Amino acid sequence: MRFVDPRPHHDCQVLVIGSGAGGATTAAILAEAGHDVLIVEEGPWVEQGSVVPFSLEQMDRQYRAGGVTVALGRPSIAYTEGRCAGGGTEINSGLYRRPSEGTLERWRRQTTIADFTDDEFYAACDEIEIALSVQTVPGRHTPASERLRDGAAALGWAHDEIPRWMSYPAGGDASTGKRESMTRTFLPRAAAAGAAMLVEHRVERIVRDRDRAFRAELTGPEGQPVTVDFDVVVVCGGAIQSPALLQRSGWRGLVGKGLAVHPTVKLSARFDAPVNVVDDVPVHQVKEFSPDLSFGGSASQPGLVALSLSDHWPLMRDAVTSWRDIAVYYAAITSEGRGRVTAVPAMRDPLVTYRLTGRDRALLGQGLARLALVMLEAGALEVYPSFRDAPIVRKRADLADATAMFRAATASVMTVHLCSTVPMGEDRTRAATDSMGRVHGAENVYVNDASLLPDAPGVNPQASVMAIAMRNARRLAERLT
Amino acid sequence: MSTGQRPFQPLGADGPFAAFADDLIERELPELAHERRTATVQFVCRRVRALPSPLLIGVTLLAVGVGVGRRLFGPARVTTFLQRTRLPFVGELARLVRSLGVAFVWETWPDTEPSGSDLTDAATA
Repeated sequence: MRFVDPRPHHDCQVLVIGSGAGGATTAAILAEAGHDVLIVEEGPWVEQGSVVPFSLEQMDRQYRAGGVTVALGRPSIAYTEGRCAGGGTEINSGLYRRPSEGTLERWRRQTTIADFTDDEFYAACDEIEIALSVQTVPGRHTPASERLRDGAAALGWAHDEIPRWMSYPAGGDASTGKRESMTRTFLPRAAAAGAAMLVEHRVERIVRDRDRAFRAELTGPEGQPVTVDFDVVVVCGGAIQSPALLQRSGWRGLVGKGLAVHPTVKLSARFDAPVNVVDDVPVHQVKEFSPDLSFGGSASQPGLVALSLSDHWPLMRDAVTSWRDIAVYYAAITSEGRGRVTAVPAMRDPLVTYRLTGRDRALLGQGLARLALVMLEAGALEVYPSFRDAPIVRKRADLADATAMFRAATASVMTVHLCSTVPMGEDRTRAATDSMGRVHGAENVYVNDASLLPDAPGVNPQASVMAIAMRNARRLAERLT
Repeated sequence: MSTGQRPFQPLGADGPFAAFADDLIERELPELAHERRTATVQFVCRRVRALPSPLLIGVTLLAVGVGVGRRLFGPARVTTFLQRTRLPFVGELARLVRSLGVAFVWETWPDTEPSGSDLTDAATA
């Protein structure tokens, strides 16, 4: 990567704020089209392999607020955001799934997105899949993934393996994959085409003269003020930081109002043999009840196993010594609820809230019960649902008790998929940007990340984020030429 | 004019939040060695101080309340109340400490017994 030396002022044609799936793609496309691109990233550059995936050290170095970020509500929803070069692609599971044609049609209608064709979208997916080596595991899966698959198969429930953007050596298996994240793919591509990068600089505000923005005010790693003057700015800070920055800069309206997530509840399951792989996650998902519900596997570091048992610690704590035989799984729902991101004056971070609907709460309970059933069918000796005062499930008959005791308000609900806070489209009553990501009411301010999705895609969103980023960046490159 | 006193820091190492976290972890992992408990409380406090600002303000206010409560009613009663309460937000304080604490303990020392004692030490003995 071509890093820029810190200095008080920089100039560029296009400033890209954020270097995750949206920002890295945008920077590469624009730089390859011959534009002068500067990428600003709030977090550090951390080489792949220098920290153990899903560890507390990784959370310290690559997650915002050490991974402790919450959308307030009843219940509150814990979420995570990457805060490093490559953004969320450096820390997530690497699972990749195209959104369905039905989802694209829904998006098109919901906010009236113009010139948004399936053909163009899926052609972008084709490119992305080659660039990121998207593929299924060539050899054996992890034991935790096999257990999930076997449980679903025993019930006759639809399930499949989700491809990942990973590369494998010849003859490799799940344990030998290398993550093809943005620091290994699109950021080097951007650099090869001339883009420069400034890391550990936070953008505080975009300065504007009426509808035209011309400068970004940053804070450097030592707290020093830094400015960047630009012709065009593309905000790619993710679904929380992008709307917060726009609001701090004076763009409000619909910005930040439509936060959509896939809420998940978790359980851990203990088997009669080791299943725990500390640095990887299962790749199988159960899709029998998709799109409303899907089940998959989570990171299962021993600390995360202990965490999953902590909602009813006095009852469940004895299991923790068997963490090698335990894996953590999740039930994710498509939510009808919505949240909000609000920049509060004089506060560094935005206030994030989310409200689940009654249907969402019921679905979380159903999901947890059905996931527990999958685990029992997979041979789990004990299942530990993550909600306050949850019982241990050992047989099918216990599921009724667990379901009756479940209250979403007492569950540990979390999410890693955040989107829709600056939705794109021509309908100004529903969209905060035009169909290419230009903020309504701004001449030269664009958004190009998960914020643009009109709602949550119901599948892992990275394919959607990158395909839309690629489309919009190409349109912008044409416009600038 | 300086009074020579350190400013009151509710989330500092000597503040009421750390004292509450220490009490709670001692109760829930009673055999965790002192130095491990100290390291765990330091970790919990560090993570809490890094919370996003709206949450940080909320936890700071709660910590002030905890400090007042510990003086008025005694540390043990306050810890018991916070351990058991189901009140919105207030009830999340113990959950926050417990979840961060156990995550740190089992990631750092995976061979820890549920009581907090070291499994390898127990095996050796």
